[in-house]
Amino acid sequence: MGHHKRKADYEIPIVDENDLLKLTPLGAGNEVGRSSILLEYKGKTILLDAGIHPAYNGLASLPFFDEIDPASIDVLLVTHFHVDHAAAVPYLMERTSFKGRVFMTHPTKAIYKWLLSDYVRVSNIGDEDQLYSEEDLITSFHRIEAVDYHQQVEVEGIKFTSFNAGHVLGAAMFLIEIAGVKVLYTGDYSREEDRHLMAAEKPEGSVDVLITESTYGVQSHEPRLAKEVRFTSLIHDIVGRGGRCLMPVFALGRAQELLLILDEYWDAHPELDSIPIYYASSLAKKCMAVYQTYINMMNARIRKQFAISNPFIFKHISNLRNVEQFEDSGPCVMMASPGMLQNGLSRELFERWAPDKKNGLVITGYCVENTLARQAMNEPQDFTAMDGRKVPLRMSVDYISFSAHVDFTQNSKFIEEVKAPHVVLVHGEANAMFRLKSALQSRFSEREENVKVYTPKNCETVKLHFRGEKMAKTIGTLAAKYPIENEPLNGILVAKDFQLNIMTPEDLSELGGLITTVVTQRQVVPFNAGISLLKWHLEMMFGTLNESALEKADKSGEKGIVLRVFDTIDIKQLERRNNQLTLEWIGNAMNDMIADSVLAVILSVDSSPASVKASTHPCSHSHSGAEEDRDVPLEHDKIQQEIDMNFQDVVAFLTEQFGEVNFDEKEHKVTVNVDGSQAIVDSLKFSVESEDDVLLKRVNDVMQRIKLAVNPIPTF
Amino acid sequence: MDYRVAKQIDAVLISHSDLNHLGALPYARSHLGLKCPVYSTVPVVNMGKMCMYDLHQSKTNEMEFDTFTLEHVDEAFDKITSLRYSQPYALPGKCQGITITAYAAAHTIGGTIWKIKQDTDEIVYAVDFNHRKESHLDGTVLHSNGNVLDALTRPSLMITDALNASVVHPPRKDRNAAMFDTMMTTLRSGGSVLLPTDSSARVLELAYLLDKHWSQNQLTYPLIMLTNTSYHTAHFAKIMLEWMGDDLTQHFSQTRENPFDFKYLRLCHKLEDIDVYTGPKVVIASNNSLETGFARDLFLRWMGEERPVTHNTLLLTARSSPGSLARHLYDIWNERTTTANDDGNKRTIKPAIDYNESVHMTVYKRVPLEGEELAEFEERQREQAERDAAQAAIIARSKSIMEEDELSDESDMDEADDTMEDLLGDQFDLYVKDAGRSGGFFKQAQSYRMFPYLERRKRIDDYGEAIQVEHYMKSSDLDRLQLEKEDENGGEGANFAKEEDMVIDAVEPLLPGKDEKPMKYITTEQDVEIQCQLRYVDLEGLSDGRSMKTILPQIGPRKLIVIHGSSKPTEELAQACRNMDHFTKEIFTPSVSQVLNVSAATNIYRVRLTDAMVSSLQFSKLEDYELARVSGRIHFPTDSTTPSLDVDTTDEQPSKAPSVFVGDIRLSEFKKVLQGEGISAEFKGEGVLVCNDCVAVRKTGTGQLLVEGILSPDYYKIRSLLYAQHAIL
Repeated sequence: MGHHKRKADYEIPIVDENDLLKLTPLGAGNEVGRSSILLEYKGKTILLDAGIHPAYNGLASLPFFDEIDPASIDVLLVTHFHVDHAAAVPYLMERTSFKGRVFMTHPTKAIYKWLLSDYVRVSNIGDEDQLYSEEDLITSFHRIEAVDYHQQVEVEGIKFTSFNAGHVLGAAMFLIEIAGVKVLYTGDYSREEDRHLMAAEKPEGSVDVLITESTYGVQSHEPRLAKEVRFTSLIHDIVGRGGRCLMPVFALGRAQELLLILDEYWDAHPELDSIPIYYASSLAKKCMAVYQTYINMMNARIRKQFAISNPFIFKHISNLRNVEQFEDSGPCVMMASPGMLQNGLSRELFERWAPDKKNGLVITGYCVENTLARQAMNEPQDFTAMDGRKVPLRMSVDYISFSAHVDFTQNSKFIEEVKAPHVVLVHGEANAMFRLKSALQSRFSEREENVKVYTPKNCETVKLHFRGEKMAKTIGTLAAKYPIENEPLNGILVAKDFQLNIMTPEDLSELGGLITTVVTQRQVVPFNAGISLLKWHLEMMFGTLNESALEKADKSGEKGIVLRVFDTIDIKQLERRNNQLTLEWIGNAMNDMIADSVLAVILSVDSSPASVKASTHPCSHSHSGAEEDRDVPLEHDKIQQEIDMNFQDVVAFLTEQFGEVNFDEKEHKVTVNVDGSQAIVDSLKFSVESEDDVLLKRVNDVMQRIKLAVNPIPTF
Repeated sequence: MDYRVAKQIDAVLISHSDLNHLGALPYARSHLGLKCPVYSTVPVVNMGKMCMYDLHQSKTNEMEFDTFTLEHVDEAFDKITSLRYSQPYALPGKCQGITITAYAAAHTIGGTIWKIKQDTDEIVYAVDFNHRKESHLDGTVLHSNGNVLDALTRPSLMITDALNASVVHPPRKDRNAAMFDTMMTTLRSGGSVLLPTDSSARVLELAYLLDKHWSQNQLTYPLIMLTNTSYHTAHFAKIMLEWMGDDLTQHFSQTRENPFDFKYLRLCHKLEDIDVYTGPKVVIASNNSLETGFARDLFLRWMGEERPVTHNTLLLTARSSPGSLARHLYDIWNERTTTANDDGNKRTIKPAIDYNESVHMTVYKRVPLEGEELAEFEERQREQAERDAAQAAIIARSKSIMEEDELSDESDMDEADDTMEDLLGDQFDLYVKDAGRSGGFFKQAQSYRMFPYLERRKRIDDYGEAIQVEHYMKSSDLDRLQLEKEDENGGEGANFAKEEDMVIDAVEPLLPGKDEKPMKYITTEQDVEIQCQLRYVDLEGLSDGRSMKTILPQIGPRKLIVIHGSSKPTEELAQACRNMDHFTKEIFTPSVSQVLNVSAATNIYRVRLTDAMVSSLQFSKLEDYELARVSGRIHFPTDSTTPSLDVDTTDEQPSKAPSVFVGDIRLSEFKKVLQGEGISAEFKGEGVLVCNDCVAVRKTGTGQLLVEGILSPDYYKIRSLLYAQHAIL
């Protein structure tokens, strides 16, 4: 089975890998048994069920876990306790790198332990072939989290809810929601209410992907009542002709339903009183307490009965502890596990009773291919016993399906009700599955509904593209007014578990629960020059500064002086510590950059030649070299010079753009003449005046660009 | 509540199954016209019903009670919509848009913290919760392992109670030990212990705790639970394991023994039932207020005037509501122990006191009618019966005329059936295997509708068929042997008569029917001399005041309403909250019938982010959050009513907003980060983290961070590490 090519048949070309929802059956793809489906979307990984294949042994019975990295699984959801859905859980949890969380319903968890410890015992073939030990089972049991129906659980953005699935006690369907995409996994489910379980529920709301079982393909079940009548009369016949009736069953699940039916029938037919019904399962006996306890998870009928007395206390059914205790004399009804005659008591009795044509075999459950029960259904002449000899098969073989799986009518009805645009079929043999697929497809195409049906094989990935429509909620002060077309919206986007909210920074703590903070920085720098020299240097670099006495700016009572650069950075010098400066500012990218440049100035003050010049008095003697004669320009002169330079730049730019221009150097005004219209530009304010609107706009645009070119760092 | 209020209510949410939380429900539904849907968890429905049945029966035992009837109780509880924990439920009809979710509150089984959510408004109603694990329940999910559940953090409004604001609990183990200590002392000195409790909620904890204690120590003193519904309380507890603590379910899964299949605890429904158990005993009885129920009857009987010579003990486990007898006794106990033992250490459990006072109380009695009264009553009964019979005869005759034709065919068969029934009406002793026997799941042996004969398997030993000695005995010896055997069966230790009890219980109606004998009620006001040992041990199962004060700031509600406490603890809690940093200053302490307007009405609208917008976002991660600055323009697409947000394509330069630092680091965590990077970091002085002796990081009073240091490479390194702890937008 392990040689499937890994190819994706259903690939749709898409852009964003993140928008792909990937579904890979690791088991139960085109087969029944070892259910295990991997679901990946938006970086979240969920494994649905981890069962074993009842027809294989050891590692071969596992789903294809080696195709994935078990460590990447965030959540494992187990639908019910049957071995083909849950028996690989201890292996996955204890023998692989799996470290996610595991969820199942309360009854599933309670039965899980007993059922699997029985499984461990029965499948104890050889130590090297054993998947896991009893200890593994116990450790895994303690890590499993139990959930209740309808309880919504959220694990890091994965939301899931379990719903009643019918089938067996505690069976659940899981509705999983990741980033708004909803996937419903039915597990094994039944839409028919029976004696103790309610029918599967249909979750409310829309579902995007439905993963459903297809065990019975296009077959239809006979109505429950007719089936029960057929069943009871068949058994009546067998015991009536003096035969022994063998029913191989799963120890738990449907067997309890059959017991309820038989007990009721025996009650109504006193003539059968002398014929014993045996139920040979110590496991079932162990788990009866579970059936007595989780009454709230069964249907209303049982709950009502329970208020009076316990419907699970049978009057006509005896438990058989072991075969030695069993006196094989005369007619009887025997329910024995396992359900597919693989081994154990049911096999032993089958081999013993098969040659007598008075006896009867009644198969009540689904039988997986390659099991003896399945072979027996074809009524061969003989079969091979466990010890290798040929045993003739003369006993009558009948098949009445009591397995609580949906039939075609129920399944297709459910699929239609759920209305998911994508339907993925699993848990069905290839033939059954394809028949169901084509039946569904023809039905959908008749109605011109665009529903796609997929039947992936094991390890084959179905890739579905969900255009992650990003919806965000604008909340708080930002949403005070409903927006109008083309209105700007600025804020902070807060994303958590795929929920997006937009709000103002001020609302962050109130609405987002996030605390904003301010990082104030204070740096101490050694500095030995005079403060006025520093001020002069800083003005050279940053333009005008604010100067104030420390007493006013600060409450510390210290005396000193404060220079403020760009209204963001304070440079303090304390009187009592005049050999150092303290820089103080509020940290952010912009302020940190300015602080760094202020620091560069401070550090260079001591060593800069300009300082020497600025702070030294002119001396009487002459120095060689013309340059040194020039005085340090006064502040006003420097600014004047700068303005002149800027003006010349502006003129040059405008000349480039509009041809000859007139300018007035004193007023710093330029007159532009274009096609008889005139515009006057003030190069200091970068403002334009003109009577012609078109020209005004044109010149204005040019001036904005010139402004950026001439004066790239705006004053703060 | 009155008529006007009841009719305006659109939904009722019930949080616990005790009288304090649902006692008025049947009355409100039947008399006040409360018609709206009611919501609660499954156990609250089941146990709430038990609670009301018990109360009704207790009241009926002492007076003509017609405030509500059992039918009212059924009607009220059958109409409740039951929910599971964390099952979001969208309210229908008028409340559309509101989602309610129940979260485990502990304290009682099915106890609920409600979250009521509409858009961004979230109201958390959390009263009487317990964050500590108990023997049958886990702590509330609100606060487990020191963390507040995500779904319940930062609600826009939180409503909580101040009942325990000034209480500090000693450890639970000590409290349990104190209870058992008092109990054992009394029992050993020949006295009996009365534990008044409720009939539906806390009784489970007590019952489980005591039963466990009894089986651990193999005590032989009778342990009795006496409420009108004790069998059904235990019966329902058995099938609600999924609502109980993990330990319990684990234990059940391991052993398959239902923890509420009591081994020692006997379930009694009538006061007379306990007379069977002689000698010193422990009785858990309802109601905890001592105002009504078996607890009051027993209190009078054991501690009142008829008391036997021995000293009995009244062990209170809850304080009850002010005004009740139990509260009165608690107050006296509290006063006396506080003065006697006033060393200020509240964490010790205060001792028992000798209580010997006269209490003025009303004594209710129900006595059979006698003499004239009886005659009068019987006369009335007879008249009534005659009237009924006459009426029935008329109806029957007219019916028979109408149906005569139809019936004529079947009459033969009917007759046959009748004779058959007559035959069956006579009694025969039939051997019927006891179907209700608990424990066995399957029938143990074949049953016969014939003379009971059990076919014995022939035992074979090495010499052939084993000899049955009895077969060869003299008949007189056989009789003697038989007698001995019966004696053996009689004394099976503490477990005697257990299974029989259960069988009788199972077939008994939910409540014992009224006695056939005509009865009347007598009420007398009198002073009763009470003499007993009195002790209070806090087993209320609620978070104490100190824990409340640490839990509340972690929840961080935006508004807080404090209810359910007398004025002093309410004010204490409110004041403690006002003094917390980072805690809302909007704290309300309303009095009864005061109307508060706490609407938060957060504005909200939805926008669709275009692909271009999404790809332009630069996210920074902070814990579970991803944050990004978003700047764009709103457009209304033609095909949708939802506005979309697109990137700004116009040339206009958006004004650059100042950076925002998001995150709230703890210096102790930052210290670890620094140390991980090889920078030495030590706390010095008041919360100043000194790094490499040259840079100091501290938090100012307003929660802002201050980095201070001399110019050095370390400064820059530390700063960038500090920045990395925040999301900078």
